[in-house]
Amino acid sequence: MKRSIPLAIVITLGFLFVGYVFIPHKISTDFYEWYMEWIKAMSPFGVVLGIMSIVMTHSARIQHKVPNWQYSIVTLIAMFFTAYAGFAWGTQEGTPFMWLFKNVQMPMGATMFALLAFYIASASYKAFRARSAEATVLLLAAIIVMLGQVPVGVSMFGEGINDITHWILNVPNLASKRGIALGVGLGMVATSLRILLGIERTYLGGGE
Amino acid sequence: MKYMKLSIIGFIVVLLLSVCIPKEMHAVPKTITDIEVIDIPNDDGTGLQIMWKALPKESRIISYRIYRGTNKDTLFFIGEIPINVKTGANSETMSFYDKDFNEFLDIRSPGKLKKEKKAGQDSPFYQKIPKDMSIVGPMLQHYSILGVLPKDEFYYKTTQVEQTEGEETIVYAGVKSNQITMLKKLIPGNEYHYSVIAVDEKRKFWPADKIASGIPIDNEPANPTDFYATYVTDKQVLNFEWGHPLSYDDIYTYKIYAKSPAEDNIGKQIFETKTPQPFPSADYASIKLDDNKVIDKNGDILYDFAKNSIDKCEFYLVFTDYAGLKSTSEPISAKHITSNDLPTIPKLYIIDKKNDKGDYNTLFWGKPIAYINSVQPISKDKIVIGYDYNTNCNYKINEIYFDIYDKDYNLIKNVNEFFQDNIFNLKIDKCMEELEELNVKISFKYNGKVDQDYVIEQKLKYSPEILTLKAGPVSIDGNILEKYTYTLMKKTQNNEIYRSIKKAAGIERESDDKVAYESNVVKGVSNYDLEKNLFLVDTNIDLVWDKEAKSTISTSIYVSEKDKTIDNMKKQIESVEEMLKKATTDEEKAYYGDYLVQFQNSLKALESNSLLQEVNSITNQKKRMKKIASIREVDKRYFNYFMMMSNGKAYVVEDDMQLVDGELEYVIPAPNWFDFEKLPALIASLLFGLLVFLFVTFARQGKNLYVRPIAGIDEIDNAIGRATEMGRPILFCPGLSGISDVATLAGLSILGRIAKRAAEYDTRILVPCRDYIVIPIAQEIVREAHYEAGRPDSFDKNNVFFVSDQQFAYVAGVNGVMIREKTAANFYMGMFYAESLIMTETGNATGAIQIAGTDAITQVPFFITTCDYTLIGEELYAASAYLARQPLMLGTLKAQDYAKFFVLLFLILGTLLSTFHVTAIIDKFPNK
Repeated sequence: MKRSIPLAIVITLGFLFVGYVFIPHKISTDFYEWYMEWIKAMSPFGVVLGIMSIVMTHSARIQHKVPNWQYSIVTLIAMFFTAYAGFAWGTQEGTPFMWLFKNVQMPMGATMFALLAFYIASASYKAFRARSAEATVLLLAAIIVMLGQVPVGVSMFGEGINDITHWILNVPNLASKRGIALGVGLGMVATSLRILLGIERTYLGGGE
Repeated sequence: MKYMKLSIIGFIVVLLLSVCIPKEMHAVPKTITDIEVIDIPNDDGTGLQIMWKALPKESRIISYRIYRGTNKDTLFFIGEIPINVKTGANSETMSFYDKDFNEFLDIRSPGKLKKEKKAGQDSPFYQKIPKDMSIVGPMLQHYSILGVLPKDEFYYKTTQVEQTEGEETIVYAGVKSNQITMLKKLIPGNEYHYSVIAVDEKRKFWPADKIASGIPIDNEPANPTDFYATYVTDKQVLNFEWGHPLSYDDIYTYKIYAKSPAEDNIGKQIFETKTPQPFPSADYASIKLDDNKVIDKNGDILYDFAKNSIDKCEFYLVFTDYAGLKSTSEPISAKHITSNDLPTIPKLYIIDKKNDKGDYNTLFWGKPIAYINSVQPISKDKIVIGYDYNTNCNYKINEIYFDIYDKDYNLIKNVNEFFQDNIFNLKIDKCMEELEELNVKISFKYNGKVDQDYVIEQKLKYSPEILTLKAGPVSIDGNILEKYTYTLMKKTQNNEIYRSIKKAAGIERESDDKVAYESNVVKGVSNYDLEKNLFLVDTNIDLVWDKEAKSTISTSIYVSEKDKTIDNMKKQIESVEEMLKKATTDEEKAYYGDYLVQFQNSLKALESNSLLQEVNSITNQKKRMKKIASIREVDKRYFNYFMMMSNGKAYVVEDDMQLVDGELEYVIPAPNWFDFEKLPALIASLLFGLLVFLFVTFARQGKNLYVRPIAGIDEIDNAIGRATEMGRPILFCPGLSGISDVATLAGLSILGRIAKRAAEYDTRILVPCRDYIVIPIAQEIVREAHYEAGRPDSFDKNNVFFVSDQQFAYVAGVNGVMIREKTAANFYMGMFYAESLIMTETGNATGAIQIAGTDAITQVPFFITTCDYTLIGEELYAASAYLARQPLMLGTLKAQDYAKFFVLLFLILGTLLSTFHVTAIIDKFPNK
């Protein structure tokens, strides 16, 4: 019962929404819109799950004094203070909540994003080492594409490098991307079908 | 540890101080001192403009809040203008327009009267108008209020309320404040009071030093502009066209007058049309003269041009508003043209739009059009020409031929676009500057035939500004298409005037017109019941258009009131008859006479209409309303369409009326039960389903289904084993998407199998989540896995935890877990974005074995570079089935492979056929 009811709901609603894709009738679209309204109404309750998870995880860490438990205090204080700031003073421009968002969260997020530049350089170094024939091809292709994207490349090697860059990007690169996309599309359909037919049930918890 | 604690406390103290301690205040003005309220010109007397001087940038103002009241003691918040605190206001003078129907009361309004505490306890400023009936009720008399109710609320959920007004008892439909959205308009002649509060970046309120007052006044409409007239001599047609006024809400009639030199003032009226409120009218008039005379519907001569030559006549356009105020154009004379000077108008066709829910009609006209819209050089001798084409249901384009000539009309190339991808390459022997221009002739093969008589011409001229060839105007037989526009109009059965729905450019060939299903009922609100806490609205509702009586039938929504509609109509007729008797001027007599005829027709219709009788025979309230809804909601969606073509300067050509059996044809769109555009997708899905069924059957029969080995999946066990040997935990990231993403579902399926193996080896598995809906599902999966492995004791709910729903905060959290917990095996299965590389590089640095699987093509290279094994695209979806090794699962996997084979077969076949200009297969697939 614990698994069969959720499974029945998944299968019934799954087929209804498959029907919605092919049936443009008002009844079908009204049902979809009605469902989306409910989704909008339900999703805020999901936040409670997130908050509960954070509180339980970090309070357990503090309680058991696991290594680096002090960070958990910072996390909980930050969470509750931000929430309090939002409730007490609102979330408009000029409030403490917005100040925290603009001066704490946004710079921290930007800092993490900025790290990506260095990680890309490091990853490029790993990828372009000519250890094998395939890696050498990769290296050459990357050099050509990079030179084709910048004016100095055109001035050094003429407009021909532009054509080669376009060819690499539009033919082998695009072909392989589309090949992956094709497989992904079919994989999605197959997984959806497994779920709809009740063959795949691991997402409900447990094994087969 | 001691330093860590101190640093944490220090951080929190600094954070709190930053928020709480105010920065040094500068002596800059923050109070508005010059607020004034003025009447908006050329309107219907329902608009006021509130003006004040913007405070300087140094005041650090983030917004101006505007308040309005009907007395100076109570001003309610009505709107806010946000200001960029860094740049200040965009202009020196700030303006707020309080006009048209806008928000009065809605679901977001406060329940009770709430003071703006920040403006001071003694201030007259309050938050929005509250839902409190004792406050909002008396305010209704100061405004024109429209109530918008969801139709079902009005049909089924109102309360019948009786109110005695004098000797009469009137029945209203009572609605609660949470059922209705109310919009307001100011009333001309009433006084309103306004003030503004400046809000600084600390959200401190700075009220203006005074409350300004204003009275909206009904003014005459703006003077007509862009008024043109032509006289088509061979057809004896006078055409007029004028510019659309900015505000047409208040214009009741458009009148045209003709004046000969001998006549006074603006002469005599020759044309009149009304505005199809609340929609705009088509701004033109086409008057067919009968032996040089303008004759009205009744056969009376309005004007005789035989006596006063059109050459010598001047024409005036007069706008008249509902209060009778007029504005007149400058006089113009008619330009004489012949029908040869006018373009030929194609016939307009109307069909129900296919594959929709029944809320669109498709309007189409004319033959297909193709034109070049861009020229881009890709090298010295090669250019890319971009083109576009417009066609409609009548013409299925097979091929488009572009014949490219140089400036001397020497042929450069014939291009056959058998597959229209909106682009083709052209090799040129000179640079574009030397070419100067290209001439293009465009023709078509449509509906299986080449139309050699239909040629579109276009010039591409070199432009030094953009350093490339610029596409010129498109012409057919010398007529430049861009000069003309098609004005599409429609009207309902109960309205004589067409309303303008779209002006389509001369190159367009199709347009969809939305015929929305009714969702709301709009009612005027002027009354309330304080005891019952209800707003009161009229109970009548339009039922159907009676063709014979030419009148709209209305009825009450309440069964008990159904007969009173006729009684009320009789009373109205009596009152109009009395007015008619008292009328002294011809104008008054004509006015009341028209009303009397209208009411008499309505009464006749009420007494004889079969649909009304059918409705009134139902005694159950709900069933009766259902019947009313089924009649009225269909009846209101019938439309007759009309099209005219013009150049904006009275070169007007009208299409024929849409008639059926000599009467105007009214069409209604119908909902469709199947989207035929998606038929190929349905067939492919069914075939795939069939393949799945076949292979599942084979697998059940014990046939050996070979599945190619996938290294990444094979290594999962080794990775778990490694973590077990090292005594360190495993990390599993289910991606950044929500549970609705199939990639997340595929990732969670893999989690179930990894968690089971980890439980068997007694190895801790950590699952940081970004989506809070994913948490309980992941927790359940891991819990079940532990139970199945026989290790329920080792399950810890807190090992599946929420980190943050912010992308980079999540990355920071996951990276922290990797470093602190020293995870030995990291799995990334699901949808990932820019954070993928940051996570996997960190995992790489900690020395963990990493296996990733994603369908995000852009992230695959990063995973391949930094992870030990990567499941690319479909392998992620195959992983769960691959690990399960069950016949059912393997069957779907095998079916997936065969489906891929068939897709490849189609791709190769399509490519080969397209190479030989055979597009039959491609054409079977939808364009989108």
